[in-house]
Amino acid sequence: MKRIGIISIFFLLAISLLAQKVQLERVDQWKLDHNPIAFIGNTYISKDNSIIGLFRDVWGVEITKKEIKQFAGYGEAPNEVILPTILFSYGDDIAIAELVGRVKIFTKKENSYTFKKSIWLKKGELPLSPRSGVFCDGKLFVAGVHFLKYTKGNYYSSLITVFDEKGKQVKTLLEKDLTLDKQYHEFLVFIVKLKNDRLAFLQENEPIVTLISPKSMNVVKQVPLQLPSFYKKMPGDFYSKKSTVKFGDSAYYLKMLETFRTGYSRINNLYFDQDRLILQMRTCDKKLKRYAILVYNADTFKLEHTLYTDDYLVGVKDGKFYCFANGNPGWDGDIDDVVFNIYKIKK
Amino acid sequence: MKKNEIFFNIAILVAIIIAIVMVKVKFFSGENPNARAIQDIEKLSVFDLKEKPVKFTSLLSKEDESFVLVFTVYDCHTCILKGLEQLKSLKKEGKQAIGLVVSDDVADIALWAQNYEPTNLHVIKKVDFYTHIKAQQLPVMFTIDDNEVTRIQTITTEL
Repeated sequence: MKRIGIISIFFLLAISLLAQKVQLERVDQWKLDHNPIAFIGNTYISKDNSIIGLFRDVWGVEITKKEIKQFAGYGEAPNEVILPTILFSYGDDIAIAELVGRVKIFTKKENSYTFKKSIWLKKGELPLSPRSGVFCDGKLFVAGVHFLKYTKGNYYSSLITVFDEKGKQVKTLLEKDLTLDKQYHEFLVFIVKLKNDRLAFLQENEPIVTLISPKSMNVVKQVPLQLPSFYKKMPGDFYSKKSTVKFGDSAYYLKMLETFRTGYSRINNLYFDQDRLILQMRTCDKKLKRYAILVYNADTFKLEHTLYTDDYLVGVKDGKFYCFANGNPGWDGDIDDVVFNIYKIKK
Repeated sequence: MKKNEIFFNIAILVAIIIAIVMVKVKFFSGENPNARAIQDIEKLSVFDLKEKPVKFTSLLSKEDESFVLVFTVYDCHTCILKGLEQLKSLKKEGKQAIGLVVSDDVADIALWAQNYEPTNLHVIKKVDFYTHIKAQQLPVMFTIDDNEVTRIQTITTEL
């Protein structure tokens, strides 16, 4: 019996050593001559292997090894955006949603993206705070807190709102009563398209994947994700008005927001590539690097790899992890150099 | 009474008379303080949602007051909806109620308008807005009578 115990301990140690060996190997680096970037919003990798992103101060950009090309500046002109909230892939085109409820579509013409059309979302009277989006099956799935109805002391809300291509609201999903004491517009949620005609939804504070059928627009199932040992859960009162608002101290809000965003294993982003669901979260462990990239099998949702890096993940394609060197500017301090590191899993 | 004292009393009397005259001119002259909110109203041209130019005064009622809600789509959403609701109820009362959206892109506003109940919406180009309309804050509801603004109501979220 003792022998079996010792063998199993050795076996587990060997597995954990093997698991630790799997790390990231840099395969390319893009050093760009550009002013420092203030903050990175939604990003993904295009079919041309360029980084498409929404960056504060430069707004809609396409990044290649050679340059950062702005295709959507800030303003009211057709090829500009005002108060942009999210950016996502719209087939081969790019969609940028604005806070006012307009989605601007940009298409590639002669090597650069140009304005194609606008879609006004019929979002209703109460606010919708988009945080991520997916275009699938001819519908726009917008993830973010959407207040639907005010009832005494609560907002009956949804976390996903589905619109058709003309902007008509088709369905709301993941509905629940939300109390009025939180800054819900700060709340990050993610939605990505998986293979097998499924969408995956995830909240920054809750490592549970909700699978959705884009056709029926129904929740198929919810799967809790296996977590690494460093995982530090966000507290229940994150973004609450009580913990973020101090009368007469306007800086307190930003300070607390930064605490909630950097002090816990908050999920930063979610991607799908080569049958793998990939997310990045903070380790909040001084012995480890700043972030961990968790790679899950998208069929079984078993954790396959935990990869550590100080870089901020901006997209995954063909097994390559595209990262902004040294973190997300804004939350991880001032980062002067605009450098993207491209990694592969080293086995 | 000394000569100086007489002179001082006369000076005070003259100052009081001047002040009274000024107050009278300002408040009782019959001049409408809101009239300047829309300048050169006859020259103002707007666009319908099919991008056809329309003379603004042709939209106004000849016999009764007209109500004009001026806003941009970037204004407070609740305030815009509140203003549009006001237009709807004014229309029900038989009043002439018009929505005037400040934008250089009429086609975009026509798309935006599809998400709301049909209202008498028109578009004013930004250059015309800045040339003709003086408003401290948008959305704003102008009451216009006989081509002259008689009342200005800023639409806010307050009840």
